[in-house]
Amino acid sequence: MPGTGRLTSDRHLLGIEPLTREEILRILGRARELRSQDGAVERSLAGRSVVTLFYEASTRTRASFELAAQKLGASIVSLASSSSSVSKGESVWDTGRTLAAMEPTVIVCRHKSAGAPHLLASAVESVSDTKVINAGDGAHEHPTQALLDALTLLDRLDTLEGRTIAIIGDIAHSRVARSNLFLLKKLGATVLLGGPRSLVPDQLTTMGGVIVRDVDTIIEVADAVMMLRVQFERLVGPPPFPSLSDYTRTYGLTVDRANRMKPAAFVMHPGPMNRGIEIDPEVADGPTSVVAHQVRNGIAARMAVLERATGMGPWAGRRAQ
Amino acid sequence: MSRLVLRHVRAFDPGAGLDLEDTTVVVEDDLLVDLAASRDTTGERVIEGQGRLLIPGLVDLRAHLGEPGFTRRESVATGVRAAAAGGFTTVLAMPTTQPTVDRPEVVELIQARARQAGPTRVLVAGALSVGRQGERLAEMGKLKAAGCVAFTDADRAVKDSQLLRYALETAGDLGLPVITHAEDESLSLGGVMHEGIMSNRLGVAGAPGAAEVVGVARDLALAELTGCRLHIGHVSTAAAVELIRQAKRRGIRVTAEVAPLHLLLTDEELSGYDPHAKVFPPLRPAPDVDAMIMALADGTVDCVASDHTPQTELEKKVELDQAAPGAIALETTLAVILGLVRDKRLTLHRAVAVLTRAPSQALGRKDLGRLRLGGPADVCLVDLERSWCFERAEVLSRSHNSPLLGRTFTGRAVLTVAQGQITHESL
Repeated sequence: MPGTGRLTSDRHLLGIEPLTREEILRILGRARELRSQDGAVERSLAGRSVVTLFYEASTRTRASFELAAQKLGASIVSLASSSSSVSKGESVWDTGRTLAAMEPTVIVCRHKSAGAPHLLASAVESVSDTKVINAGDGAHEHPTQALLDALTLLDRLDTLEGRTIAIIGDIAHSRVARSNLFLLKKLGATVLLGGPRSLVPDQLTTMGGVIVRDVDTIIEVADAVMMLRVQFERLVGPPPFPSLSDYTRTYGLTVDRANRMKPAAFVMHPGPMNRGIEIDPEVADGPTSVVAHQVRNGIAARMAVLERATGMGPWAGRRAQ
Repeated sequence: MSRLVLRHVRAFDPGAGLDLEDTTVVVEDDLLVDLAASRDTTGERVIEGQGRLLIPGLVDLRAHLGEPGFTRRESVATGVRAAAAGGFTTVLAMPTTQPTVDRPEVVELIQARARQAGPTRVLVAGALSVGRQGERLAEMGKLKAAGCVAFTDADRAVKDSQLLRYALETAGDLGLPVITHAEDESLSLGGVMHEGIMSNRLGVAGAPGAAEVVGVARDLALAELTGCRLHIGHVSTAAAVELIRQAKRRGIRVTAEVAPLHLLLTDEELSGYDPHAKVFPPLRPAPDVDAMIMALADGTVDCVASDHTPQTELEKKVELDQAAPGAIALETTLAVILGLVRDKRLTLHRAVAVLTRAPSQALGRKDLGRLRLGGPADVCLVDLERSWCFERAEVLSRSHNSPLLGRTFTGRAVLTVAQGQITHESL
């Protein structure tokens, strides 16, 4: 049954939730190795092919995946929904089977519907050995973002064990928040979630987050503060808060709030940023911001994930976990 | 005159206080003429019951039969075949058709298809509003004259409270019930599944249980205001049940139904984004399921309705948020309810009543859903021990959308007789 049956391969990367702590550490370790090799990276994906299938607009994720695949020597086919059969009404199921029949090594998929990569992976498995990597599905998961964020955090904090990481903003609609929450918990961090009830529902505590409604409290105790934008495109019905400036007043990372962070604490943002709403421009571009570093780490994290999907690097001859 | 003899059966109609072990029941033409005949009675067909349970033919209050307009999903003919296999002898067809049942011609078309399809009784629910648009009342007088037995906008809540008030009053004047889908659609807007722990984990837009609760509260207030008969369709939350319980205590004329899936599955079914587990109302967490079972057992919820909702593979083999909600259910409803009896959550007495007498009463039909000497020969022979698997290849409905495919059940209808004719047999 589509989207229902258990997948037979464990080399797809559909989310952080199913990964073990050891597997996450293996990916991060490999990403560091690849990053340090820089220009001298072994072209472990030479002769392999990577399809990027993006049903949703993306700048950084797509570019990052394609650069990562290029560095590993893979050939890349880049598909966007506006320029492919998707715009002719082809379903994810059919697209998956069609692409899989051409036997690419990996399909990297971004989709607006939660669970779509799972459906794609089921379709693909019915045809070939191609692996699927989730590049963001609706408000579900964005595993490579969480991996690059972890890489960035560990560059500064050495360990996440016992650390306090804050995620503030529209968590209900954020795949970045979900993947980060799963990952940070697996690596032993305390995760504080901040934002209005309409965007940070109480049920999120069951996933291990601690909800603190008062952002000023969070700011003062966090070792790192991850700001998320409000995903206006996913909102239906009346606006969930009174106004943008009212939101900024209560939940935004203003200069004033940033000044009250712990001395070594730093600011992260997965992008795209809505400057002046969830984060002041001065903070986004200021000395505590590691946004550019996050983007740089994205390539290494995605290289590691591509190797995992293809069974290369530390995954040669090993089962993924 | 044709004569069918059912020998060695346990004739069981708990609502009538009837429980005759090892008896012989005789059907002549379309009537039950003897419930305790002599063992050597003969007829054109003599069926050996082996002591199995003979109950009234099951009555379903909520089936989407797809005709006219959606025959890729289901037709009246395929729908009644599925119904018969599930032990049903009466189904109430929802006006989820194209065009909808807001004019007598559509009623007549469905009735004509039903006559061609066989003796299973297909009752027709008329639309409550023109085009089920919720703007003005459908011509209920004409629809009743054509044969409609209830009025409903099916899966659409009536947004305008004044219109629902008028609908209750108009239907009440005609002596017929209104069936509502109780929901505040502004609260559930965009919801794909139940809003809760699962929806948050999966990143899927949720519809809170409160959307149903608000809808039920409003509908109950209007039933009280008008004093007219209200039947609330597919209730699924503990809090809504509590409101219904209070309303009944206060003497409001309300009946309610629950769908079998809301007695069996929780929103955990969606953990793998299975579109087959996407139904409407959505599957709820375990405490709601538990409350629904208890409410069915204690009579707060009067009856079970299949909510048989066929959808094609095209409508289901897509992303969860794009998938059409609903599941086929006529062939599995009895088995699900008998499962509750095996689990000791429901008495056999109650299990039979909620599928026969209770739904008939909700429609105000005293003739259906009972075993009565001289009454209609609508019966169902049940093997409580029969183990069977709900296999895709054996599905009789035209569609195959069900989260229960591949599941093994114990207990099923092995013979169904509608209007004196055998409509299903797997003795």
